[in-house]
Parts: sequence; C-alpha cells; structure tokens
Amino acid sequence: MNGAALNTTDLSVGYHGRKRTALLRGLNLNLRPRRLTCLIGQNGVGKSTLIRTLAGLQKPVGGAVSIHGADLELVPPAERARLVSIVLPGADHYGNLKCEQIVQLGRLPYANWLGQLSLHDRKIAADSLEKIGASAFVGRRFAELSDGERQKILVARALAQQTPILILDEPTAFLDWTNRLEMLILLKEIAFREEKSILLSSHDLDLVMRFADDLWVIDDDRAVFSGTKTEVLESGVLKNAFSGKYLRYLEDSRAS
Amino acid sequence: MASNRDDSRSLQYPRRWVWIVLGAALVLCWLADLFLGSVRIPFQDVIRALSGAEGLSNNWGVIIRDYRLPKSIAAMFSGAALSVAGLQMQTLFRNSLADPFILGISSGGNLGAAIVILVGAGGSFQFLGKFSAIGNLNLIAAASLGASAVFILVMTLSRRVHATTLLITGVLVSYIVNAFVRVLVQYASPDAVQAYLSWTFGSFAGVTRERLTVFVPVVSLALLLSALTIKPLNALLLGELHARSVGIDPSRSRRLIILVASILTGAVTAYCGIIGFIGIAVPHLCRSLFADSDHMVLLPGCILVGACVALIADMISQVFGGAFLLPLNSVTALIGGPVILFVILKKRNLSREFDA
Repeated sequence: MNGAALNTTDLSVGYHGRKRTALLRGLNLNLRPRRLTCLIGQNGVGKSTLIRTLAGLQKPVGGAVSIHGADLELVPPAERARLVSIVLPGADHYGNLKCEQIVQLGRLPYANWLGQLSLHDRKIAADSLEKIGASAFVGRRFAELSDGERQKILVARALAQQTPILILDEPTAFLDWTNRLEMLILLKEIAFREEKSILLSSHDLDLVMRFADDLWVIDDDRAVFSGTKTEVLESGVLKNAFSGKYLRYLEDSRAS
Repeated sequence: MASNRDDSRSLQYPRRWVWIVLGAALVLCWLADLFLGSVRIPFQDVIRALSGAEGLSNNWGVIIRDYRLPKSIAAMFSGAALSVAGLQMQTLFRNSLADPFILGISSGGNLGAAIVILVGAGGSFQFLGKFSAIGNLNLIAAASLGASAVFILVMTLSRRVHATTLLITGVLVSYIVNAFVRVLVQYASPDAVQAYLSWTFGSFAGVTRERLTVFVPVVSLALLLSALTIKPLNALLLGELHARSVGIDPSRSRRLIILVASILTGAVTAYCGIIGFIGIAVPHLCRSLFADSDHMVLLPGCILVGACVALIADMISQVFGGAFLLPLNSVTALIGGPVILFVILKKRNLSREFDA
C-alpha cells in the first residue's frame, strides 16, 4: 500500500444501467498524502465517473476502492463523510443560503441528529472560509456570487469537512487565470500543510504541469497511466492523450 | 435591484422577534377564531366557556367547547401539517410548484371519500350537519384507506425509482382517480354529488372532539418525526451527490421525508377533505419572511405560519354567518392567494430560491 491514503485494486468504473458498462478498467491507483494528484484526460473519457467512484458516491463496476485499507463500499455513509470530501462542478445548489451556511453544511457529518452545529463546528467552518481567502463573503448570499466565488465557497465547504482525502472535479473550470493559479497554489499548500491527499481533475494541462506532484493520465484509448510528473513525462504517455495536442510538453521536458 | 439590498439589510433584525411575533399572532388568531362565528358570543363568555364554566346562556358553552374549540384545533394542526408537508416536497423535488398533494396521497383519500359518498357505501351523508357525527366515521375511514393505499404504492416505488418518477406517479394517480370519480359523479344522485363537492371544498368543522383524539396525536407524531428530516433536507439543498458526500443516504432520507409528508397529508385529507393552497403557499411565505433556506428555521416557521393561515382562512370562511359558509378551499386561495403573492413579489427573493 506504500503509505497511500486511498488505493484501488483492479477497479472498473462505469454505468450501472440495465447493462453494466465499464468506461475504465483494471485501475490500480494510489493517492498519496501530502501530494497534489491531478487526473487529466479529454472530456467524456470518464474522469467524473472515476471521481464519483473514488469518493464512494457511485459503486464500482468491478474491483474495489479502499481508504486506509478499508473497502469503501463497506464503510457506512456517516463514516465515509469523515474520510472523503468532494467538490463537484456546476455549483448545483438550491435555496437561499448565505456563504457561511453553505460552508457549515460541510460540518453536517459532525452535527447532531437535528443537524445543529456546535460552536467548535462553526469555528472550523469560519476557519475554512479564511483559509480559502473568502472571509469577506460572510453574510453574502451564495446565489449572488460569481461562478469563481462560488467555487471558492464550495472548496471551503469541502475543507470544513476535515477529511484526509479531498477530491475535486474540475475545480478551476469557471475561474480566470489568476484565480486558477491561486486555487492550485492553495490546494498544494493545504495538501502539504494538512497532510491531505488531494485529487483534482482538469483538462487544463498547462496548469496541471506546473503544480501537480503526481499525475493520472487517461489517454484517448481510456488507458490509465499513473506516476509522478517526471515519470509521466518520460513515459511519453501524453502522446496518446488530448489527441496529441500537448506533445510539446514532451519536447520541453527533453530540452530542459 | 435596490429592493434586494433592502432585504439583506432587513436580515440584520434579530430573528427572535420574528418568533415572538409569530407566536403572538398564533394565539391571537386562535382566540379570534373562537370568538367569531354565526352566533355572537361575548369575549368574556368565550373565555369562561373555555375554562369550563357551566350554565352559560344559549348553549354557548356547547358551541365553544364542542364546536369552535375542536374546529380551531383542527385548523391549527391541519395548517401546520400541510405547510410542513409542502415544504418537504418542495425541497425534496427541488420544485417550487410541489405541494403536499403531489405524491397522490390525497388523491387516494379523494377516491375513498368519493366511493363512500357517491356510491353510498357509507350510508347517508351528513358532512355539513355539524353535530351528527355518525355518517362521517365511515367517510374518514374510507379516505384514510384510500390515502394509505396510495401511500403504500408510493413507498414501494420510492425504493426503486428516481424521485422524478415519483412525481409522475403522483400526477398519474390523481388523473386516474379524477377520471374514476367523474364516472361515479355521472351516475350519482344530485344530493350525493352536492355532498361530494362539499367534501372537496374542505372543512375543519367535521373534526369533532372525539376525532381530535386521533387526529391530533397522529399529526403531532408526524410533526415530531419531521424534525428528523431537517438535516437531510438541508443536505439536499446542495444536490443529491453532495448530500451523499456529507454522509446522508439520499434514498433512505427520501423515504423518511415521504413517510412523514404522507402521514401529514393523509391525516388532513381524511379528516378535513382536500385543503389546497396552504401547502404550496406557506413554505414560500416562510422563505420570504425569513430570507433563508435553512430548514431548522423554515420547518418551525411553517408550523406557526401554517397554523395562523389556516385559522384565518377558517375565520373568513364563516364571516358571513352560518347560512353563508364559504368553501374553505376557495377562501384559502381567494384571500390567501393575492396576499401571499403580494408578499412574495414585494420581497422578490423567491427567484433566488430556485435558480440553479
């Protein structure tokens, strides 16, 4: 297990319709603490499906996901919520909540049966907002924020959940360049400082190449390669990803 | 918009005041409902009758204790029940048009009532005869039975199908029931049709003191159970996947929410007939009032506001005296509609609730 917080054994992910369809098969992946791992691949290649499966929101089609050695499917939902937190794209919300209320929803796994939070929980929620640089949003309505600001709030919500594993699906999709950089620097810092394993998916290879410690590449044939950034660059796996659009990275790495 | 800015400032008001005002409003509405009616009774005598004094003139004690008091209690509990059920349905289905009847539970009640009244299985119908209680027992039993049948169907389905499918099922069930009822109406006597129509108008007056002993505990229990739905409802605000990620089992929560809402709706339908509008409007009114989507606030808010609105509707329905009882259903929508529409439009924060 080489100290991985999350690992998969022969995992297949896909759809559970009338027929089980596997998008990605035979995955043996390790998510290591204190590292920022980036999942890259073209749109529609199965990134989101993989992410939902790793977060325990969807059952694997085959194989297993384990967190600290325990099969995720057997972990009760309340306990799972203290192990993995997620940020999903699209800021899917409903309701008239203030930013701090959204972040406080991240403390629900720790709340009592009524969903009431202790002062301690509120403090943690406030700290998460501060960590993400969004303390100024307190008192503002989530619905009135821009997409980028909402994204920050949703990341703060996931941080408030205080899980060793944080998984983000396209966290930079709605952000401008500065905010993207800021978000990735922040995530990298948090991974290191709080010893979290952070996985984020992206199709923004420029950004990923700057910040990722580890890379999981899903190539155009849905083969998955994982390794450190150097390993990925040296393997040449990017040749068959993104329809070859990012080949120049291979040249860059050779030149340097 | 300028008005939105004002709203956010009005949020600064301490929320405790809202609760105190709502509590006071409920007590006032309740006393007013006891005071108003076809027979004019001085206020002191109303209080005296409540405290159990005997020997009041003109049967006033009987009117207050056996008619107006049970009716007002039925109104309060029905209003609270329908509002909470409406709130739960709106959040569960993420649909601002959802109401307590959306699952088809009340259609089941409707079917039971229609069969009893129109086919006459329950014997002579005496719904408007307020003091003769015998005929109604069968009606309530039949309506409960019908509501339970649909309830069992919905609960069985809710294990297997998607939430949206449940919505469609509810709508289809009500279409089927309505079609069947129309067939019954076609062949029923005019008296029976008239009686059935009165039932669909809804009334709190049919709930006598003896019936309260069943109605109140059932509704109270369901309202207590609804406290368990606060946490999942809040989690569901961020969508099913996020709810799952904070440790809520969406399918289990859905069954709990449907269970509670069905008991609330079924009980009210069986005892008071179909009372529309309250269940859809009061949750929106509360959202505007509190400018919040936290169910920890909305749920108790709906209980208080719903009880007030039902009491007011009951008062208005008999404001012209006994001979001109207005149908409760019409009152709730005719009077309540514009008022609540005004509040919501003035606050203009409703659109925020449902924007994705």
